[in-house]
Amino acid sequence: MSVIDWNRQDNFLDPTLRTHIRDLLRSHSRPSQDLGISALSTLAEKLGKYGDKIAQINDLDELSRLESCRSALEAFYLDCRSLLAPVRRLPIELLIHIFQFCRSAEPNFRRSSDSAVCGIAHLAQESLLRVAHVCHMWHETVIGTPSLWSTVSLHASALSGTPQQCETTVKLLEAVLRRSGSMPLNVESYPFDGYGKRFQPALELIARHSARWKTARIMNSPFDFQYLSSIQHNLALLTTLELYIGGSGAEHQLDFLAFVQNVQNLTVHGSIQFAIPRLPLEGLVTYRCVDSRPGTIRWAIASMSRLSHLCAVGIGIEIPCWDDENYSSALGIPQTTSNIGSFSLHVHKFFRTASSLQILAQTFAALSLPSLRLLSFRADFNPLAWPHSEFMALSSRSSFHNHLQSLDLFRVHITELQLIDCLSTLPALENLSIADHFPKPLVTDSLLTALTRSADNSTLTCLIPGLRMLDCISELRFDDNVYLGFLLSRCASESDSPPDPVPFVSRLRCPRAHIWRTINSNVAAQIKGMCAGGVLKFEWLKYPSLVS
Amino acid sequence: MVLLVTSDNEQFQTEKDIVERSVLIKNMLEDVGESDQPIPLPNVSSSVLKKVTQPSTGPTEIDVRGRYLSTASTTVESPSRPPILEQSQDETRKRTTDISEWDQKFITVDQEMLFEIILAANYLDIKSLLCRRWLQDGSQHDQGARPPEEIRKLFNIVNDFTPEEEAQIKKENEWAEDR
Repeated sequence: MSVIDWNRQDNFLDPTLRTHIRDLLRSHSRPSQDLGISALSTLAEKLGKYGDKIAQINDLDELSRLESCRSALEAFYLDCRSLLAPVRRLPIELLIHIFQFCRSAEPNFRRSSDSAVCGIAHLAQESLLRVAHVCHMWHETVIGTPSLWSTVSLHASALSGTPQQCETTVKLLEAVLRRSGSMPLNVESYPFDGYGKRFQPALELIARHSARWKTARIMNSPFDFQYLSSIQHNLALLTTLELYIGGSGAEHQLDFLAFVQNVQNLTVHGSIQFAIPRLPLEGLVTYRCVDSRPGTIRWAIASMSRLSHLCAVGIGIEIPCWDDENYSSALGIPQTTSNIGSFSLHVHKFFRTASSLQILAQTFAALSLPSLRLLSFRADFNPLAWPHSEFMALSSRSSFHNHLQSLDLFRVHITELQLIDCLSTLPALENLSIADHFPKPLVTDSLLTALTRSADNSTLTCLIPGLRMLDCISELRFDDNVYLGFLLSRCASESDSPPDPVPFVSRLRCPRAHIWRTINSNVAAQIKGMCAGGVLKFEWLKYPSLVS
Repeated sequence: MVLLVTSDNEQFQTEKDIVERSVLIKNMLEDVGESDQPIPLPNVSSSVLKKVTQPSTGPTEIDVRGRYLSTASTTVESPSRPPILEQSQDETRKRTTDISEWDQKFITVDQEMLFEIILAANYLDIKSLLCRRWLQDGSQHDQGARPPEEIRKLFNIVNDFTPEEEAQIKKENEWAEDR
């Protein structure tokens, strides 16, 4: 129990002690052993006594004195409590790691009805600044850590307001660049049509720091590239580049592409033909051509001949819904041999099935991919039609049987017979992704049986003997015991060989709730047993769980 | 299964794919190879380890579960895990759009435990997502980050800025006054 001498000044009013506690708070240092939970309890008790005493007093002078003492004690108590707060146990480097999560990826347009304010708040990293305004130590940490400011994200909305707002944007940009110190930068610039001239001061400012650019995402009109002229010869750190090429008319603005010699990851949007001659493709690790129209896909395919075997390629095609078959059939894709290791084709938007079939058929017919290991297809809406004979010719021409390890056909409408035909020529395959598509299911008893190793473990009688992962989007129109038989055969070790340390992976994804059904409980129990034994990794991806 | 031994000498049999989210443990397992030897975690108590490794909802029927996001795209969310175990940046972005049931439960732990968990996650080298939820608005405010006063209140932090520093902060925030 603490006893208070009401006529004597308490030590919490000692300015030296107050300053000491404040210094500790501001430095993120640990308090001494003397200041622990018990000391805090004593202070809280004293605070309560002050309250009680004040409630009993009638003398105004005495009341004023005690209230002042109580306020000082309360401030002292709060300082001490803060000093013992659990958050102070986090080391600075961990705080910085947490603060990194406060950076927003995009402007929050719900923040204000004024889009310029939203863009400016995004550039200023408002969330980070709010954290910086919590206390002295957090402020020092946030403002003084260049890595927290290494992403410079300029959204056109930040330049869409009044002239004063545009000035603010440039000042904030200067502040962000200053705080980033000498850190390598991630630069992002997103345009709105018609703001080209307004970008000039901001782009020129960013361009002056191009020697620090590590990644750059420049989605402005190519005509804005004129403001980036100073970046030529000054892009030594740039390893990741994404840019919008636009249409014709700005080709001369793309000369800087000849200086991006160290770029390993390149994404190009728009009419790639204007950029290809200038692009250093040989050293790329990833190469994406996005938004290619049927008329320009030939350029993207043709450029693949310059890529190395280390490169993973993704081509995104937009087929306009008004596209007619004749248009798609006249793509003129040149015969191209490419040593790339991975190829992905992604079709955006709705499209006519006949158009996608034409494009896929012509792409397969034009390509030879003698080193390909991964092949995948994506479609945002309707599944892609499958040009089977062209694929088989591509597979044969490219010797897929020797090296194709991963085939993702989730978004491809392929029949069971066609799939079995493909798989019979792909013995090196290890990962397969397939899906049921209306009207006939693909994941059926007959397919699972064809994939089941025979009882004598002969590798000659089953499809893809080296399969390590089967990923299915299925309406579950198969017999659970057939599925179990497939799993058991794949998880069993070869005779005379030690158990495989890597479990077989099987994923089942049920696409729609209305086809919900439970899995046979005996089958589920055996699957569970195989998982516990480490021979199977089973993933059941549906909500709610189908397993009874 | 992997045997973990905590600072208070309690032993935990934990699934390998869960513990391997910890870079520290993953490296240890790679160094020692297949072994029944327990892995000591001298900086993690049993109460904290239970929190770090607990699955999202109750015991699992068959190992793993998750949610299917869309029939149109092939994007499928990874099986639910405690967010503190999440690793990939893409998953991080995806998961920050809502506060999962696991997070809601997780947030209800007291601050002593919360920061013990964060320190453990740091020691185990597991990317932590949770603090972002606390410092940002997420579903509660929808207007950006929590105001500094709320963060102070939440974490028992006092405003220790000098008047000069307050003036500097006001200057840093001038742009926001145009709103």
